[in-house]
Amino acid sequence: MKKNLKWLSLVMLIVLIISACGGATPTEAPPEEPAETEAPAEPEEPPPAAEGPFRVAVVMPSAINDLAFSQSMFDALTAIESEMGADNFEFDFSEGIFVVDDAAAALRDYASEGYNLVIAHGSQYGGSLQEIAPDFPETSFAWGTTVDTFSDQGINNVYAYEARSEQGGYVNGVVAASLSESDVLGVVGPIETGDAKLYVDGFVAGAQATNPDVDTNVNYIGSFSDVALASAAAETHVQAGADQLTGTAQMVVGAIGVAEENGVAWFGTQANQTSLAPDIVVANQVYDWTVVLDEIINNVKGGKLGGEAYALTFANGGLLMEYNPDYDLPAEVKALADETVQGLIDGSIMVGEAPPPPPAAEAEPVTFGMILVGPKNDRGWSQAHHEGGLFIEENLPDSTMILFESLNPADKPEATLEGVVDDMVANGATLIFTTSDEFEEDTLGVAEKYPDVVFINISGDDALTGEAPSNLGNIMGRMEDLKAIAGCAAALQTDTGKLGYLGPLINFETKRLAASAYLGARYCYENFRGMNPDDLEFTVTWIGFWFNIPGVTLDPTEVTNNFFDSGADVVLSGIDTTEGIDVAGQRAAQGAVVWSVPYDFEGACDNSPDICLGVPYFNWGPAYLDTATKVGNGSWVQSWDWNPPYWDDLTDNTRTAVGWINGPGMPGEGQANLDTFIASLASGDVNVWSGPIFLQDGSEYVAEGSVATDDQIWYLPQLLQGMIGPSE
Amino acid sequence: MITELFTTTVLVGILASGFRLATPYLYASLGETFGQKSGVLNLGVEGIMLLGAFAAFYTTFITENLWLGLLAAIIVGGIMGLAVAVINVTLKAEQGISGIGVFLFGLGMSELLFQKALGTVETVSGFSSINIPFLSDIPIIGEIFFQHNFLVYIAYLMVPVSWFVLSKTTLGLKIRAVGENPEAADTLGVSVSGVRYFTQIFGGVMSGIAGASLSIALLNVFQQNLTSGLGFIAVALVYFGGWRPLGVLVGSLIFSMVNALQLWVQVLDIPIPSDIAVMMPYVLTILALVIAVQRVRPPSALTKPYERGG
Amino acid sequence: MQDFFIRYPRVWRAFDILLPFLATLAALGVGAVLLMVFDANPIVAYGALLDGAFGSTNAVADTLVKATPLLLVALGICIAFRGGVINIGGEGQLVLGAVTATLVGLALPDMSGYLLIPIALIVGFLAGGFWGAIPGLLKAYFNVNEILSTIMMNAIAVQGMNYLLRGPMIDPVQLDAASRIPQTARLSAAFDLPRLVPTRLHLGTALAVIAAFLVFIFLWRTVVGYRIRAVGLNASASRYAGINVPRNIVLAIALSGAFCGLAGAIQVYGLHHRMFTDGSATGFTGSAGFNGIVVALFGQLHPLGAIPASFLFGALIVGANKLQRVMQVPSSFIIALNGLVVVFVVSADYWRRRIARRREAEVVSEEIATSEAEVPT
Repeated sequence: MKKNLKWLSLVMLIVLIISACGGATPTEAPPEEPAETEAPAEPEEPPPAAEGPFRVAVVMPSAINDLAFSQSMFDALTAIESEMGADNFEFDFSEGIFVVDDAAAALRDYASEGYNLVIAHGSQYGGSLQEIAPDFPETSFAWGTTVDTFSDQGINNVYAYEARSEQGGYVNGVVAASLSESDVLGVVGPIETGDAKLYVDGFVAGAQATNPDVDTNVNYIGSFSDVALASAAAETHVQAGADQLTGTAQMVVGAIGVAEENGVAWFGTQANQTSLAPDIVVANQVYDWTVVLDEIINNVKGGKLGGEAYALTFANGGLLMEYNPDYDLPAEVKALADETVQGLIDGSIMVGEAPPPPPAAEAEPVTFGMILVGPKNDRGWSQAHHEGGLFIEENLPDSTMILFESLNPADKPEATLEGVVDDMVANGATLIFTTSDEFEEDTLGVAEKYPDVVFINISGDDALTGEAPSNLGNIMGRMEDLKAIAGCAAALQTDTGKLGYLGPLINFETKRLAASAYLGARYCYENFRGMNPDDLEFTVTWIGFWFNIPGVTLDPTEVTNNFFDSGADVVLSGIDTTEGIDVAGQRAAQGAVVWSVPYDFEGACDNSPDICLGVPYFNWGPAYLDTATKVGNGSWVQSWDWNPPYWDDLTDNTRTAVGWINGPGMPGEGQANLDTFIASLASGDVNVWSGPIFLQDGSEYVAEGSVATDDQIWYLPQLLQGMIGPSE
Repeated sequence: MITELFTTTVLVGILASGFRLATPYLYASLGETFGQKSGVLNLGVEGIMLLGAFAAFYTTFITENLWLGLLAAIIVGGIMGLAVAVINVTLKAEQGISGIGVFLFGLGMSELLFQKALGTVETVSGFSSINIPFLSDIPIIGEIFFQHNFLVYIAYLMVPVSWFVLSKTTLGLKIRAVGENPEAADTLGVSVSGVRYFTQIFGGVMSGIAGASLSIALLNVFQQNLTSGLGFIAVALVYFGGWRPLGVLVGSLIFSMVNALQLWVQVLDIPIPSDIAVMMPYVLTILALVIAVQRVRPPSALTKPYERGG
Repeated sequence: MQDFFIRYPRVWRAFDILLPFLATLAALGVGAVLLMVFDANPIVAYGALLDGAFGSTNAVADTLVKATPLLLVALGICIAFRGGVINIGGEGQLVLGAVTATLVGLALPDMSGYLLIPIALIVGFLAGGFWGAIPGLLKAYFNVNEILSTIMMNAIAVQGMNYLLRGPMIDPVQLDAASRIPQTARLSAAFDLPRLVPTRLHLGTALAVIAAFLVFIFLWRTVVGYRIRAVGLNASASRYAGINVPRNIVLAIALSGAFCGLAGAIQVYGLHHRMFTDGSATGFTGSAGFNGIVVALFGQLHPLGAIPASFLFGALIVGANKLQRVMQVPSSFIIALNGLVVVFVVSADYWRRRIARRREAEVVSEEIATSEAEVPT
């Protein structure tokens, strides 16, 4: 026993000597490693003056290398440091501070040491921050992930930030549902709150939207750290038939292993997890906090210490989809993913909590301007817009339309858009529709001039490209599908196999519409008529403007006559006015066997019903009313809307953005075929924009097996192979 | 929906997952059973598992040799077992408390080494499944029992081995004697400290292997707090098993199968909040003991350091 | 050396009290080696530790705030240990006390703080006691070992907390937000335990110290306390003496749980003013349920000894966090250091017991006389 004691005393002695050695080291160390002894922050250092480096401190709940939440923030700060330079930016961090009490102490400590910005990178820290921030009114704080800046409690030095992780969740869900053969997906989550819940809900929604038959099984394992249980959860999903897995938070590394072992695809989030299983990781949603941090840092430098909430989204580049280059993702699924990201950016896809419904009771009357490029009774483009305006007046009581017709150099050479808008604003307009792509550029100018007035430019893309100020939005109807119907109707009826397309001027819109009509015609010529679609002669003649301007444009009447003279027996109109059907009517009255498909205005067939095969038309009313209502109650936000038809009833003018009226001239058999075609478009079974599609110059535009994306359709560079007529 | 739980897929799934999930519990609990049988409670199993898991993972990551990885876990586990023996046997520390220290040390140290040596989450290809010839082809039974990796089979093999050693060998007799009546054992010339050192080192080795079974056989990754409380459950299962290897086996299987069951409950959309489902294995483990009121007495000298003549 | 101590009892007393600190220093010595492996200067590091724990008013306040739940848990552990049970369910009992006390504050937002705070603290105390009584009953009447049941009940409490905080108890503001942070609304400011502005120090610290004296009186000056200690010392002898052993086992662990519950309630009313979860117990408790056990031992399982012990342990944790901030060493270092301190302190007890035994042998007659005087009849 005595011996034991001595032995232990010896151990203690050694320990003490070692610690004494530890004490001795510093006196020797400095010459060797001067940098090391400089590194620790001097507690006595006075708070930096404004000209010193910008100092950030961050407190994080997990480790900086967790391949997840904390790492994403650490990487962002490191990136900013290397971008701004160590002289201008420095940051310190406390990692693994899962004890909230300790986090509070750290936050308070950092604040008292004069850091410019103190970040509480954990939603569980919010309560503490709420107590601390008021004690340090000169320090700026940031809290994530949340949207709460405490400004409603009189605290104005706290920024809030969050990641809209449901967006990437949605994209992952879309891809997973597209890839799944078993139609079963599995999700492994920690606990059902916060960032994890957002992501999981987004994933489920994306999968559901892509394939309603897909079963998405969700498992919350009740822990952020239990790797073994996460792996068991993944195993359960595999046993339940899942062939696509995803999950969020640090413990999912266990689930990824199971996915790899079973050859099941994996979708990551928060950080790029491809390195963990290079064979089966398909895609990752990655956070880039620099987007948010840059803004906050700039604000703090400018003297604004808080009160704003920021979010990472696809639109602002804070969320990124990173695909595994080694995973063989089918092109059409990738295209669908890109399209989904695009939809989330432009707002055509909404995910997450539904936006608060507009308070219907408070429908405020709106005075709005309506600027038409042609006359309001052109029985075409301009008349359709005018009726949209009337629809607002009918449905939004006491609203007033200020109309300006025929704003074009031919009819009113002295008028400018700016002048018209000046008058309208002077007369109280708070919303102005500029209903032509001719006005696109000028609308940008007036929107800058009148930031408090909402402008809607029809058929433009400035809100999509980001050029537009925030008071300018775009609306367009998805006419392409209906142009395909128009083309189909023509193909069903033609005897000569020659179709004429009366084009206005050449731009993206007119090219894609003509191309859609051609694709619809080909499809029906082949599938209903049993003919070789390559034999179909489809000629486009551009007159040079939306309607006839004598001496400036080609005369559409003449062009139509030329079509018929050269053997065409159906003329499709792509211009604002009705020359196509009018000429066809005259010819038919003279005994010729010809037909026409007019355009734009739902009543267009009335001009010559017997030879009218139907008309695709715009119905602006619902979209206009929605916009006016939102402007009235203050809930309007900028968007780029490409509104699809209401497939259940293409003539329901209270709902559809674009419509189709059957033509009295279409015989019963043809009409039956046309109805079949419309039904297959509605169900999605047929998409005329399916590859292979070649451009006029012979280059492949859409590969076999793929479907053109919205972007590809919207920005169609040329007419398609097989169409006759210029592309430039 | 509840009825869906009784389909073949689900039942086979629960049994197969449960069978596999029980592996780390078995190693750690069987090792702890030896220790407690000899009168020493080691609450620090979790910490030793973490160090073993890291040692196995890192060695395998560097050498790409699973056997070296396993060896590293055994060595690290053994060293930690030796440390526990020094603390609890020689220094006679309060065992309920020293274990917390060992746990915290293992938790912190494994993470520190992980950050220093690896820096980020990596993977290795661990022990792969071995389908036992013929047996693995039996429908259902084969899938549940005979399509697992090496360390899973060894864990189950350790159950009868432990039983045999504890009840049928002189060593086992000494262990039990030291745990029940150290004075008498001492009088008969059994080295109380020697036996307890042996059981602690053995327990450490088993905890190390338990960790390795996670990091290089079941999960094939390492990250901070990989075990996440598993080691504490393993200690609890020793009590559940009444200090008998077979009881430990039953406890491990019940706990891990109920865990597999609760995962299915969520997958099948049975309307129970996820948190409540996660509670199930814990509640049922307690209930199982309440219903099967046991009259098993713990080893008399458990947690009591031996003082010769005291 | 032992003879020396026996000859000079004053020096022995000093050594007795200093022993845990010496052990702590030894652990820090090992930690210094670790720090050097990380190219961190141990002198600077431990300077930061001291500065973080005692360097300013704020630092001392933080230390006291940290010490408060440790002291309360340690008081509970003292009772349990004296009663012969190990309570490692402190984490779950803390959570239960905190959740129920928060519920009281949320349910009665308009009540006067003078009335509500005591009610809430009592409810937290009772809830912790209830959660402790369950393993007590299971042990006393169903022979379920308390180590097993308390480990399981910690997990159950955490999941129950998660369920309540993301569901029925969630802040209505969060209900509208997409991200739904699992926390309750902030309690009315009228319910804040008074604090010393602008530090975080609150009245709860004083309450904990008062509680320490009450526990001391309870254990050594009341019949119930005596019975608990008697059962802990020798259960079978107590049974022969007519003491209801199962009932006292339940009482010991229930009281132990009650103090943990009170600690949880005080954390809410003194510090956080709302309840929240990060999915685990630790985020809220800071492992006080475990560290309190160590503190109890540090204080030699005596309620009054727990007061300085909790202060020092609180200082160690607060200072270590500061060390991590200043040196930018990984947080895991702090956890490992914490483990080393526990192991060293608990091992160092060896010397004290050895010397005490030798000394007892020498002065056995006086000891017997004093211990008999303590026993109420």
